[in-house]
Amino acid sequence: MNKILLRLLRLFDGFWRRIDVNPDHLHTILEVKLKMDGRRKTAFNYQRSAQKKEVKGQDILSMVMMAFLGLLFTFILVLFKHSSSGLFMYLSLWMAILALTLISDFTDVLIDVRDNYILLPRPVGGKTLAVSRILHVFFYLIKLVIPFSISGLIGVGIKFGPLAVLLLAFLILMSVLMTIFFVNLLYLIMLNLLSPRKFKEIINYFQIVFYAFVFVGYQILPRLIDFQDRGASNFLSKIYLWPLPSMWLASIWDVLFYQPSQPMIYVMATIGLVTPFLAIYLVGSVLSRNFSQKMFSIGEGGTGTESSPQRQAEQHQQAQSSWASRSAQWFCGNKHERAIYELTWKLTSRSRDFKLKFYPNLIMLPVYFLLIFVFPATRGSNDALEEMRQGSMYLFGFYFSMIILISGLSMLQFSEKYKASWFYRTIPMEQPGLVLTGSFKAIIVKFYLPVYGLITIGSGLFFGWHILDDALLAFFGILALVTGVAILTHYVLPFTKSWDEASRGGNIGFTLLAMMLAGLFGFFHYAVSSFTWVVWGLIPVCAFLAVLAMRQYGKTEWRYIIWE
Amino acid sequence: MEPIIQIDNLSKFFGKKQVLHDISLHIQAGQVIGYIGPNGAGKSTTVRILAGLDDNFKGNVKIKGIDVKENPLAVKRIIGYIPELADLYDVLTPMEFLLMVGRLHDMEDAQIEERASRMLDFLGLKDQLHERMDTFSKGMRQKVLLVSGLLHNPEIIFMDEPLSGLDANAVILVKEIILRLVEQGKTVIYCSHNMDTVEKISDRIILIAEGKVVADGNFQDLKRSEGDTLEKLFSQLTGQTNFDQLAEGFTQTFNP
Repeated sequence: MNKILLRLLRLFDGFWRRIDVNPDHLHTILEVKLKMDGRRKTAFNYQRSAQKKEVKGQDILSMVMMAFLGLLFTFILVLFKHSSSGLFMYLSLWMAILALTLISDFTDVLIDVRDNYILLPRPVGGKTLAVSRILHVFFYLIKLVIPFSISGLIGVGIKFGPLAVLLLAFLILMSVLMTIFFVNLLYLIMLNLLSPRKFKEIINYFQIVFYAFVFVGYQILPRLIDFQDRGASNFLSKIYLWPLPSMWLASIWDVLFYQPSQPMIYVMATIGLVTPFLAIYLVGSVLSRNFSQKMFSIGEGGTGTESSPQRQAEQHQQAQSSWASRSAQWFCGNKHERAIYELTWKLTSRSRDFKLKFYPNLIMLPVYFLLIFVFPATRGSNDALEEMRQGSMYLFGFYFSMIILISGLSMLQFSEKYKASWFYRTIPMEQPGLVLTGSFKAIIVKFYLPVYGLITIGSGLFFGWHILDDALLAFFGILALVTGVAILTHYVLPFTKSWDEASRGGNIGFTLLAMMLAGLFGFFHYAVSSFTWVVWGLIPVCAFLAVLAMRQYGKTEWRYIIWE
Repeated sequence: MEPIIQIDNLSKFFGKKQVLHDISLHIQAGQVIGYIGPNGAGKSTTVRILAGLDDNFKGNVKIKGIDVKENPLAVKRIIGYIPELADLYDVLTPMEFLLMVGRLHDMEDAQIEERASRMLDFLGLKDQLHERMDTFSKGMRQKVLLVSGLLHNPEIIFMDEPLSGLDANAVILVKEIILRLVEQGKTVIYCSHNMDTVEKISDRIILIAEGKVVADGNFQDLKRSEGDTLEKLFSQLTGQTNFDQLAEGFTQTFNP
């Protein structure tokens, strides 16, 4: 694919020269950038990425994913009775996915600060650099657009004929141009408002949002669309949707297919036709220039946003009295454990990879909760809802929440800065078990307790506060069991392994055993839940076992610690 | 003779903070210039301006008669830049990386391959020519970086801590390379905190502190008495000589 794209690029050499872009330099930069894209490490290509050759599979995998999404969205496009509304939905979803992909998957490539040291000192013109950046993005998008649009084009061809195929292809191209423009604009606005460091952080959150979007969309969207109605309603008449760019593009379709009477549709269609071309001009001439300048400031660490020493001292004082250090005092027995507790708290807040891999779990949990509780209830009758209130479905929520605890604990061993773990070997600590319990407690207090608390409150409001005993038993039962399994299987100190190892499985034994045992305990809990006195009697037993297990885990000796 | 590097009244601001104060320097070709100063003195900033990487400054800077601000590309064609940060596109192999660098300097592939492999061979990286750099040590990366700055045979070379991460033998070799480059008529601007090396290889030493030139000349002229070292001179000129007191104070922190 890369070779074809680069050969196509050569066809325009004359054009590049005319606009003062060096085609040889452009070709060289893009060849290297595309080669580096092919070698980016992912879970999929880890094994092969150690070799020299490009990992062709990665491209193919993302293309297959896009083709699948395209197929999914094609149903919306062809099933809607009012085809302009279907197209509006199709383009909205496509543009959102495209924008989020650009932000999430491509930002690291786009903001490669190494360019400042490798490319900028070479005799390469500013225009050549700017065009290479745009084309790099464009080539990346081509690899997504083609597989995504194939099924849509076929579907539209069958339903509306060959002219509709041409029109849809044109509209998809327009949507790509608009998306590049809006992402570029978003970056520039953010770069102007935020410091480079903050900017990078915000981009990280976009990556989490992207994951959530895909996940939530995949699970919920098919349930939201009322296929009984089959999209008979006309979205184009809804004023609140008019500011959306996908609406402008759908209006072009509407004008050509339905000749609507509302003048606003014609205005939007005109905007839809003009904006992409205006966007090309702005991206090529104004924004890309500013973009390069701003990118350079990221590489240089930015200016004018650093705090004064006094402010830094204040921030340090605030950190000292932060929730992390206060809760460490409450939950940790000694200084070593406290130190690791605070370290874990801070690193899990600041580690990009941890946030990317763990936070989606926090989103996944309520989504499944919605799928299991809300959707069945809202689709059924009021009686069904009332029936559910009488049952013990809330137990599922309690036990399902252990995903947070188990995944948090399993992910804790990985870090992008795993080599910094040399310090564990230098500290004069007799029991490394305190490192394990300190980090475990941080995960419990920082992530598990708040989530569990919310689930309990939600369940209490819906099912009534009689669930409190079950909430306490499930909580202590899960804690005791997960800690017990950790004593048997989990001897890896936090932040000591590379994320690459996570992609090869991590500690599957711990995860499976913990989930299985906690699940079994959940069944037992369900069996005894109708006997309130049994539940209340088991609470102190489980709490005691949890404390005991934690103490035992804290006694883990150095010889049990797994380093490699 | 016209200086190969001409800096007149160079000032640079980061926000409101002035980091370079009215610096004027004229440098003749065929010399090693030791450009030294404490951390944050403005060495790397000056080098970045000279290399055409930063055009946001006041004053006039000419490299071989070419105005850096007006024609940075012409300047980049005749200079080599070896940055302090050994950050490379490390998923590439040295040969792939150097092919890209050479092409951007409009060299022919055959010439790049021939020169790069010979240069890397001399630096002991012959066997790693086609291995990806993500497994390389800091020293190995530094060697690739060195070759990338010299590959196109530049007339003026800016080196920002070029010996960083190199082993003792490689340090000796690179110092010898620098001297040979100067013998060929090239000019080397050498930034380093290693005073010993700077003292030994520099024809002229320029010391800046807080963005101002505080000393400029060859070492023999600069030293105040026989037996002076550049290290000692550096401390005197940057106003920090109370090391005894500082060390004493530091070790006293063990006592409450």
